[in-house]
Amino acid sequence: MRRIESGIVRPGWEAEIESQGLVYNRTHLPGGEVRSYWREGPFYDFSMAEVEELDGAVRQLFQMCVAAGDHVVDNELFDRLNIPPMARPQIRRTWAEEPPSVYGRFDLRYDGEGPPKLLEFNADTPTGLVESAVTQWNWHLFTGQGRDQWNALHDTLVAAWRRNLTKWERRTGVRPRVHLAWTSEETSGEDRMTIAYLMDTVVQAGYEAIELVVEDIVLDSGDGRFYDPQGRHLDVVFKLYPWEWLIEDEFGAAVLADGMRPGGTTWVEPAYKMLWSTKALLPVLWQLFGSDPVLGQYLLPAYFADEMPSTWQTYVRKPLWGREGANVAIVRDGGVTTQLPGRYGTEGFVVQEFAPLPDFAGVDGPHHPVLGAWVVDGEPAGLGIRESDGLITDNLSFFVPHTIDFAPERDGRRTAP
Amino acid sequence: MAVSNRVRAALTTTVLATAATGFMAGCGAGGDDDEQVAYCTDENGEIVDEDLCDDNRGGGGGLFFLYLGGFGRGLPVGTVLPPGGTRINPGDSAARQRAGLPGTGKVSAGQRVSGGIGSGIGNKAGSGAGS
Repeated sequence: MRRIESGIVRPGWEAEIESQGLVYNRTHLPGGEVRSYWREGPFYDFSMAEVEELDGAVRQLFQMCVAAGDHVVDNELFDRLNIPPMARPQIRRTWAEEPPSVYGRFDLRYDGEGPPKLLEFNADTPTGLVESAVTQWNWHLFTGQGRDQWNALHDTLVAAWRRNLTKWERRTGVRPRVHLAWTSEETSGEDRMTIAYLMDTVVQAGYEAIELVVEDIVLDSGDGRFYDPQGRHLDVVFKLYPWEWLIEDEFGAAVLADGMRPGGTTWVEPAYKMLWSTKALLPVLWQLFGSDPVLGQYLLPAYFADEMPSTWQTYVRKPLWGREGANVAIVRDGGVTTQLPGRYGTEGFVVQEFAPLPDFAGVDGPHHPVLGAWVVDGEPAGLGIRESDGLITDNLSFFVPHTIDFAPERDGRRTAP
Repeated sequence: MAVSNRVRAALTTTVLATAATGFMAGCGAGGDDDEQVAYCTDENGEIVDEDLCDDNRGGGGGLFFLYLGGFGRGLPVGTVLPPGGTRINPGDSAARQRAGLPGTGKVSAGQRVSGGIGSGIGNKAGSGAGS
């Protein structure tokens, strides 16, 4: 793994990536400065052996998460995970029945030397999909850099919809239409473009896709079922809206009740993703697999905050339901050295061993990458990398594309690694 | 080991490309109308502390308005809003309600005045629903 500093810069790349869907590329910084979220020029390069190592780790991690879910459900550990009682029947049901689930993203610490380590699992509402699946794929094809790219996202997403929706259709005898919903609270365009791209994959799987904002979802107080504003029943809804928010909303109880009834709306991702999207997954995984010589190498030691070993002085503290680095704190020698603001934390914290992200420094300073390894329908499907100047990856990080087996003499006369 | 899409060609992403074109053309706010957002302002359209538009506020002094329009959310006190919005007298309960605002009390800066489910929790998030 290496960072190539000065790859090809495509003429007109900014307008090109926006027209391809990355409309949220321009990032407005708190000071008023506007900068590009997409890095054009630099990229990371991996050997195929490294990609195979990452792919294998992701397979193992996913299987560990399945075992962790069984462990939580079988042992009724919902209180420990701070999962509200009202959501538990739906979590149990979806865990047992395996309704449609499409995708998730493992965030990994990796430097090409040691094994990849799981930082967290964005299992419910991962974003970064458009830039991973579309923008960097087009970049790879256009620039010709790299022999390949770890990126089967498009093919696997289409196949995942086809498999899951065919199964749904066989079970119900109804050909489902798929609504895909985002929240209009999110005005950068990121959530909307994610939904638009997923609609493409639904259509290519052979099903009807309808865009919706969650604010427009209609509950019929007569039959307790959900509809769109045109009165069409919501058969299958993909919601880019976290379960922990949904169940707190006014319709939350109705969503859960309807989901328990035959013919009720199927929500994607399913409710059981709450078992994985909480940071409480991390101490559960460590408890189950931390001492395993093979599986434990992919994990960082993690504990619920109230079970932290008394000897720990340096660690990372994460709120159970935080997003985009909010309220994450780095504690060194017992004192908080770095902390991002946010509204999370009252729900509880976990602590994780502090494993500083590697630094692939360039002329413009440090670059700390986090590898977002995609899982589609339970299989490793590709990679998206975000890098930050600091050690906490937040919503001001950069997206950097990647290649496999880049050879400057073959791949681009204009490049100078 | 195959680790990429089977066909090495640009993806067909018609829905995404169409949505992106529409968004870049300026109709990306999620509906036909821009989201209406309310702020407490002075007579010059400058955002002031929301307490000054609380109709329960004793005393008086100064002219303050609930100013409604397609502004961005989360703008700080001191920002001067562009003209073209709707001014509402904070003490006019009927006018407040017609605009979808609570009839009495203060109005949080950047409060939504339309929409249904989803606005409650997301409103406090400060960023998208993704992770």
